[in-house]
Amino acid sequence: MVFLNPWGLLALLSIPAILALHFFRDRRRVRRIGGLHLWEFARVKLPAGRRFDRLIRTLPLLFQLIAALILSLLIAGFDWPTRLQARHFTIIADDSISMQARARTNSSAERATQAATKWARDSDRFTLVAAAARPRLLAGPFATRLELVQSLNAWQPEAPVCELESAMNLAMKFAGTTGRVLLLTDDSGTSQSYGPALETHAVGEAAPNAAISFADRLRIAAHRDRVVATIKGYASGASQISIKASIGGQEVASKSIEVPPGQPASLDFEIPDTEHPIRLDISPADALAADDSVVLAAVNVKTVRAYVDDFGEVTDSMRKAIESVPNAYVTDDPRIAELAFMRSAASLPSALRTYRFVDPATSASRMVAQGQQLVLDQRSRITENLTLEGVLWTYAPPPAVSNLTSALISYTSHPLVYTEATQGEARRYAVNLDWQATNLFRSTAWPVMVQGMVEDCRDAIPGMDRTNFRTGEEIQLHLRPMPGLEKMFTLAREGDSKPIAEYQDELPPVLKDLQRGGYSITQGKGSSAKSLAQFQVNLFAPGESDLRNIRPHSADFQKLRADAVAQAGRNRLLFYGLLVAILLATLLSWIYQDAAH
Amino acid sequence: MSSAPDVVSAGTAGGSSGNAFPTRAAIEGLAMQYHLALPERQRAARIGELSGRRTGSSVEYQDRKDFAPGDDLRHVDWRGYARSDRMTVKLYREEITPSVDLVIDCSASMSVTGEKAQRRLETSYFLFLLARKLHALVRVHAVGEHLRPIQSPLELLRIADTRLESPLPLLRGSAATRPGGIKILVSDLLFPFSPPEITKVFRDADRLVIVQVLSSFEDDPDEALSVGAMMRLEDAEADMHLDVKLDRGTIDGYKRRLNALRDDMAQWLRPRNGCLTMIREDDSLESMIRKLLTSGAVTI
Repeated sequence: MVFLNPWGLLALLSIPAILALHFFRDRRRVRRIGGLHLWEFARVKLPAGRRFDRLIRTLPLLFQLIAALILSLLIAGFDWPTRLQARHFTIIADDSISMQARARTNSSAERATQAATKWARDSDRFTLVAAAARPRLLAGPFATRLELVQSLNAWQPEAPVCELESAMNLAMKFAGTTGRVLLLTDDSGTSQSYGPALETHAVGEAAPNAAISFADRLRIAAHRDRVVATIKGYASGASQISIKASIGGQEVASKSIEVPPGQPASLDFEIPDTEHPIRLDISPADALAADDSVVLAAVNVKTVRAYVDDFGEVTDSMRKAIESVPNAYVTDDPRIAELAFMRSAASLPSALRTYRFVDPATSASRMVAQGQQLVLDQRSRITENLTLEGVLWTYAPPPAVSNLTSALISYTSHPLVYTEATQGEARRYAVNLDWQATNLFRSTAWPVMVQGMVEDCRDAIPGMDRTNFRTGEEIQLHLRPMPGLEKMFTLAREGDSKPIAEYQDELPPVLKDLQRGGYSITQGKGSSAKSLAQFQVNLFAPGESDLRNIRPHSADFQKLRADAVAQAGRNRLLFYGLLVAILLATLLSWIYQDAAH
Repeated sequence: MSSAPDVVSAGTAGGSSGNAFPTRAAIEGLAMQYHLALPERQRAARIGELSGRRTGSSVEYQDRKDFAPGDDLRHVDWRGYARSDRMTVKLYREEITPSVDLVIDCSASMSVTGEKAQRRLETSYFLFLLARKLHALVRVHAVGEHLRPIQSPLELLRIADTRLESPLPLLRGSAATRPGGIKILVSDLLFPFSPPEITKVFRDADRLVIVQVLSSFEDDPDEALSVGAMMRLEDAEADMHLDVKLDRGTIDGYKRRLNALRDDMAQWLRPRNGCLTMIREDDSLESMIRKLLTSGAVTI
């Protein structure tokens, strides 16, 4: 016994309502008159007993109660499911962007949907798996034909890749050991390695295509960006491709380039705009429109300002190394510096990274370590790609208790660069280096090390490091909430009516599996909400853009073996029986209106 | 049937009895314009101020006739006998003081609704005032648990109605049915009786006026409730009830019986110089008086 809508049982309240109506109706119809003798001819015999007994024995009341009870059951979705034997088929749909290719009138996805709709029978059950970078269930498990068709009609393949292996693993869990999976794809070559376990229905058609295989936007000056793009042609011969850059629908630049077959061709623009998204489109139109355009969000530059204490004759070397790093410069105002190189133990209040050099004057003795003997913590951004060969690291004897676990550079048991103090995002490193005696500042390792220090500091500055991503890429947020605003964060995609996600209290550090589009993250609610970040996810799928070797293949649907599954079906006989019972009870109630008297 | 004369609207302003009888002043005003209809002949009327329809002993000369043995010798026209040698007797118009017995049904059935009780009071009081205008000897009898004389129908305001199966046993041979005079019975007639029974009780009356006061349901159940409903009818006079199905057949059957009763009653009253008037609880004063005029109970 099943109640599909238990709230419908509230309709049972109609039963006491009917009883009350009958009760009060009976009470109301009493009339006091002067004499009965003129009415004697019309006397009728009522059942003896108390009012309630008579009430119960009233036939119309009984029929009305029965009708109300059955109606309540129907509203509550009362069912006694019947056991049906149904066939179950597992289907994998290629979710990659190439399914959107439109060689003539229909896209591959539409043809696949038509084929499945034509083949599927009402009595069968289906499980539909979409094969993308990660498989997902589109319909089912054990969905009806209607659900399958609805899912396929709503399906929009957009993935940069079709990972058939993982989709197959998931599908086989539903198909069982004997089941054969139907693959709806555009290219029959996709599934050759799966043998008889997979029946492929490939509906694609070979067609020439051109795609933007890569694009990015870089800040080259305060009010000037450079846009770089790579175009790849997938045709039998060279093709002339035009690319157009536009901002807010207005064309700002265009170029034409000859693209050799199967080879990339790069070009770049300089755009005098650093604030608005730039859209790139290539023409002429081809089979796959999805890879013909990208949108590049405005670049979010995080500038690092560094303060350098007086280090004597090596001060200049330090400043030059800092200024060689893009978007980093030296400031003489220590109050605004994010990065500080200090001789004393004092930390700057605004500095996210402070490097305190041990004053050589404080120690009488010196120790020396060869660069190749130094141990570097490669996990750190500071020592990443750093080699200190040829460097003589002169240092003062370390204190009795050393802290090797937090050391970035160490020699035997002596930490030479290590974390000295941490407060929130701010961190202070101790650098045990006699800058007067070492040759580090004259070696090529020093600029590399400083670049690592700057980038480590830049990472600590709140804000997204990049604003343009490709589908499938993990998006590091690193956003700091705005003070004074409610900690309610909303992730929304441009053009969508509803937000994709809402986060309370804090944002996730990383976003995954975002489809292409422009995104914004806001903090706060309603009109007080403020933008925290904006970024763009673009589709770059060179593998999906090549439509030259697509081979169609019609599946033999008769070969598909299906598992017989016991399926619970709606008991239509019970439903219609109850419906007839309601009508009958209503009719009898009408016929026997007051007939009990 | 002749059309009733127009009745001057008297309004329903409060009278001197206060809220319990708000139409008293209006009734008193209307009573100035109407008269109680007199009987064709008076039996056992006392000699009084009112000219009777019969010849009598007043000073007003009316006619003369041949002398017959037994005639009062004081009325023989001796001068005429001397002139014509024919003995005639002078006839004089009689002066009478009629008696009026107003019998008011005070059983519980008369107050099944407040409006019905009000119409009974108004009708009784109106007829009482008209009787008083005749300078008649007016006696008011309340028929409740006992038959009791009251000064005026206004006392009904203080008298509680009591259960009474039929007023006829109390009236039979009572002071209210003494010979002669005008008898007025105000009742709903909703007790088991036959018209001859009533006329027999008032057989010595010169004129019998019966005013039947009914509630709207008692007069026409069709208007009161939706047809087809089951209904319990409770007897106001006894602990009895009756369940009926108020369908078309039942309603028609009841109305047939009620009309037959009225027709019988009217037929029995007509040769006995009587009349029957039916007043409904929703009748206005004007409507009430128009009905009394139409039935001949009162005149202008």
